[in-house]
Amino acid sequence: MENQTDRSKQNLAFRIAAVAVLTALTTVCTMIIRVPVTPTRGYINLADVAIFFTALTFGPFTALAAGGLGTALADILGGYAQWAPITFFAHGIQGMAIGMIFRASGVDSRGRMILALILSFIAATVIMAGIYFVTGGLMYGFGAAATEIPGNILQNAAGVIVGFPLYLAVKKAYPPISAYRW
Amino acid sequence: MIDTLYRPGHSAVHSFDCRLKLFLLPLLLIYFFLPLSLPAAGLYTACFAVLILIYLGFRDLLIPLKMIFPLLILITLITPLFHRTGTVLISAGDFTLLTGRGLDETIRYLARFSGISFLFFLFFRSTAMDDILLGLSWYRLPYTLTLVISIALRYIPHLAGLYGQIKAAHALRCSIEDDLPRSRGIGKIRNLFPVLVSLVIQSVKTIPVLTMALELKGIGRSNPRSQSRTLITPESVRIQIFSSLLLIALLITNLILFSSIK
Repeated sequence: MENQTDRSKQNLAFRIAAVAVLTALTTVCTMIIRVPVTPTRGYINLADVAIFFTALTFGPFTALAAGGLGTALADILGGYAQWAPITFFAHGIQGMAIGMIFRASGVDSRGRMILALILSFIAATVIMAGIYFVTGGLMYGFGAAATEIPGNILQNAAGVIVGFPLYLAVKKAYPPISAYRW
Repeated sequence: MIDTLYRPGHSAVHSFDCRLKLFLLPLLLIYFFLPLSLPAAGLYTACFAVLILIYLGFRDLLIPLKMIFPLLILITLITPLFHRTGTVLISAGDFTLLTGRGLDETIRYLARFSGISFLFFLFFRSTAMDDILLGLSWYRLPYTLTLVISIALRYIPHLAGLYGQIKAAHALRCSIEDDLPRSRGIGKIRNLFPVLVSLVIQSVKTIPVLTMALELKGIGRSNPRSQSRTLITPESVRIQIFSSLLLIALLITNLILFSSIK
């Protein structure tokens, strides 16, 4: 199984299949799986969890494509189409940054892993919240756009807190996944 | 099937060529950010509202408004506090609540954001996702990217259904005698975690199968066996191109005449 995956991971068909399935997974995590924070303050979706998982498991470029496309599709299907182009860049670059940080740091020791987690959380938050703030500010004013920053930070925190254990759990339960990275 | 924004119809907006719509969409979007005078900006937004009203109906006009309603309230409440120069209109003691400039900016932001929402709603309500992908292919968007999106669109309902099944299966694991797990905040995420792990594993397991299916289709070969459907060109395409050019000319004239830059 592992040899077969190693061979096929290089080809175009495998890449298309991986990006397509992970895009669909990201859309489902964004649109369907929602966790209410409190009865009045809305909910957090698990888009960032899916992006974090994709970046760690499949690498930065899959995270760029699947994270960007998956969340943008969720916006289009959910009726928030005006956000789709912004979401594509915000979450796509966020996924790529997380993947690149983990690729550069290597996660051999616990210390480096924690450092990579902290760095990826900071980078992902700055990129995602920053893009939303700037574009939101241009669309409807920086005052109103600033009110969305805490929600975006919370969303990213959920991505790290749930996404990393998810990566470890899936890796343990389904070892062939380690060979899927490119 | 997934419920997209698109609703089939025979209106002029529906029959407008998808490639022309894709060409006009970014231009019309950029126009919202150009320095127009306040009445011109308001009129521009009103045009999209009228288009939705005429071609899609009153109910469809309410859909985008309902979705952006909380943000519109937020803009109304917060924007005046960030623009406090100009004639004071409302104040509470020494504290200025609303100035002339604050009011102008608030209306401008409201018009811009509503207009952008109307524009995107009109586009996605009247254009099928397949046609959008074919239109993007016509503009030389890489075939692999359109293929990824179309496969993802087929997989979304499958994974959503799978999530429901896994959730139901996990719910059965708790017997009547067991204490019910906490279902607020972190407890909710903790309950969700096993479901999420199962969903991800099941999703990832489909990748090799899908890879084989794509290889059978000839993806990655120099002579692929699959072929895209041809986008049908409407009979009135010349009129549509002419009206698109006319619209661009009208918008440029409007910008020259009613620019807010003096």
